[in-house]
Amino acid sequence: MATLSSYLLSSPPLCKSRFSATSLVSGIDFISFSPRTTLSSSSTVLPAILSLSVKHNRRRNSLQGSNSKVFLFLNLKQDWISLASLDFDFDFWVSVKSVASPTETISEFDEMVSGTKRKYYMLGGKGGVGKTSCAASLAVRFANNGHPTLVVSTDPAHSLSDSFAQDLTGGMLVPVEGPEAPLFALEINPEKAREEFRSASQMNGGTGVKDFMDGMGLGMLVEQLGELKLGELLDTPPPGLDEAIAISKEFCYSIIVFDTAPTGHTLRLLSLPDFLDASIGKILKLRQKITSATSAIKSVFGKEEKGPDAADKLEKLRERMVKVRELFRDTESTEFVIVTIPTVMAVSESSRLSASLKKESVPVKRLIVNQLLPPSSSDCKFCSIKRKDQMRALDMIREDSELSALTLMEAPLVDMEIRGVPALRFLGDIIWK
Amino acid sequence: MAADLPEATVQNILDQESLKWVFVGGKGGVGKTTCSSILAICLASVRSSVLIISTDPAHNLSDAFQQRFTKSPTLVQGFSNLFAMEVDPTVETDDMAGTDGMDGLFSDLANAIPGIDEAMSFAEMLKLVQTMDYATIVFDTAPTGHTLRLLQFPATLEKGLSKLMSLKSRFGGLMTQMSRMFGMEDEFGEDALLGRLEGLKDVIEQVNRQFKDPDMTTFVCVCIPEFLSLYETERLVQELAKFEIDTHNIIINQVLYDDEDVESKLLRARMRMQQKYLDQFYMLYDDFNITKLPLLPEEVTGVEALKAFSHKFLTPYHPTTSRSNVEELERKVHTLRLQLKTAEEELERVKSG
Repeated sequence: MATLSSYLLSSPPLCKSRFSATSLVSGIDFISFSPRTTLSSSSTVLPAILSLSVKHNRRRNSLQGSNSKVFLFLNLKQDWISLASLDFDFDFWVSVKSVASPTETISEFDEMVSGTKRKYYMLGGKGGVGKTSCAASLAVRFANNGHPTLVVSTDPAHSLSDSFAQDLTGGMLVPVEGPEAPLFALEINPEKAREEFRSASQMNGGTGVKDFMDGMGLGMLVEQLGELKLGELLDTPPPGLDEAIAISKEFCYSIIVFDTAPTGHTLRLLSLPDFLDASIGKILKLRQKITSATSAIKSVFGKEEKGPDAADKLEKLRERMVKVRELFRDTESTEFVIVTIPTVMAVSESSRLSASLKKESVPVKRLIVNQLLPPSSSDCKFCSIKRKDQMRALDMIREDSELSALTLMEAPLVDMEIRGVPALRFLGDIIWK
Repeated sequence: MAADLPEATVQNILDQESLKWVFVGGKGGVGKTTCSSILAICLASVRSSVLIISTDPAHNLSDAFQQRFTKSPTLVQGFSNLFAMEVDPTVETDDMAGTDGMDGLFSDLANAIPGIDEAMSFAEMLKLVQTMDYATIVFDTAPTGHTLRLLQFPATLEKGLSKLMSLKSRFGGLMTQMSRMFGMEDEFGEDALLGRLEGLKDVIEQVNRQFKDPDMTTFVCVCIPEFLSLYETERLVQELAKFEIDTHNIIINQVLYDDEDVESKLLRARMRMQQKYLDQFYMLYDDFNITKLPLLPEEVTGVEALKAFSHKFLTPYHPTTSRSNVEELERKVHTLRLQLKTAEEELERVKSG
């Protein structure tokens, strides 16, 4: 299986070849996005995937009669302004989906999946409020509605494995068993992210200087400089770097759900692109100075000046940071969902988070209140007092200037742990209506 | 048998008079701020001066005490020796722009290291706190990921400083030779950034030694009886062992007890679920002081509520004690006042019973 790091290191391929590269990761993607796929191709994939493939194939066959060029052209023209920028295979699949259910009524959940651009949902909030359960249940619900989905966990605790009751560790894409449509999960491996960052920022301006120094009998000094192992100073990448690297990798998924770390981490994540932009800028500036010094020395001895490195990995990383920053503020494709519990302290923190997100121009529309006591006709004394306490917190939400503008969604406190796809489906049906 | 078990309270922390640094950490949402606040209150009753610092970027200390705190120590209302402050380790350090030549190179190199400004801000804060002369300092830390990275700062900064010093001495010597060879003017002056770093170095070394000293520093893990919290506590304990930081106290919060008030099927089911993990906690950490705190129906905020709850830190909670009966009666009275008809019936039962 192709590793994710290969995407970061390689130069951006053509749009078409990108699909081909990604299709190696999963047979499902290949079948889903390519109408020219034959059934025999799926014989090489796992039996579970085979059944999904057959289902997809059957759905397309039922629409085969109307799948003519004229039909496709009219449909595209009706739904999109610009045809040139479309990915043909991807939008064809979406087109079929929209035709299949034309009379479906609009609901909150349908609004979340409307449109054809890739959607990013970031679920964040105070620690311990159930962000992972909400993120996992949202991903399951997307997948059950036929949208290929990727759910990414960047919390160092990696609770996603626990939510799905499946081992997702290893820093690689893992297919989740159970949902009807493709659902993949990824737990970012901090070690791998660190290695990628370090390799991207490795300074390699020493070769010329080393040759020059050797000529002057000072080669030993350069060796000693190398022994300093300055790379070790990059052992502590800033928090949020793993999110940024994950976002900068391009997957062919309709929807990507991020299960973020607790609030403090998220607040730093928002300023990360600026932080890294400045940091990488300084590294590049430093390299430029070293190069200038080297060139000056060489020119005295009449040596030719080396041209700049055209494929600078660091520069590419910087460009990705800029894209990430723009993505965070794209109201069409990105949405931040705040998860909280009905306590005064958690609501206060959610209010501050919402204010920070607004200040950073990050779109926020929804607020989930988790762990609410379910309605009961016979409360015990404990539950009665608890319920009043929770109602007070809910009133606080309705009166808060930051949170009252958000769409409120409620999730109950249940008597069992939400683990495994069936339980997540149950929870998802309650929250995401 | 009971005598062999470690004491099930945090009294050992109060008794350890040489303790200077107390870290309180754990998974998010388990009640770290409440526990650290109450611990600071308990320490204030036996120490000459106590400072509690919140290093979580999402500060909750102001909410816990119902009082606004800032980056400088503020006296907590109702106390004469308890102070609180909220610090963000990511505060920007002074910009070193403007330096040219070789000094500029070092400045750029130093500032280009990701996280170095974070470590320097933390170092500056520690330096400031050192000069304030508090008997004990309690850290209300961010969730585990942040905490582990925070505890690495002293070692990281020490390593970084050493490398920068070596780099300058070697590189500087080389450039000196170059300057003499070509008759250039001497461009070198003392680097302001390096000077500042040198000033911090002694403080960092001292704090680093203190963090590794079990007599001066301890880490209190806060958790709840759930799988994820148990998992993260184990991860935290292992990382702390790597950092050579002492930890032997665990506070298990939000425990459901078999109480008369806890009658509903929902809570009973959750109680059984919790018991499974409580057993695992005792099995994994048989040599730790494990303090269990009950899940209260109401939120603990404000100084009075924190003080009331602090008794449970020093005395193991028993739902069937006479104190509990008093609490039951208080709850009944509270309920009676809300509904007059129900109140009369309840009152009759209490009288007859």
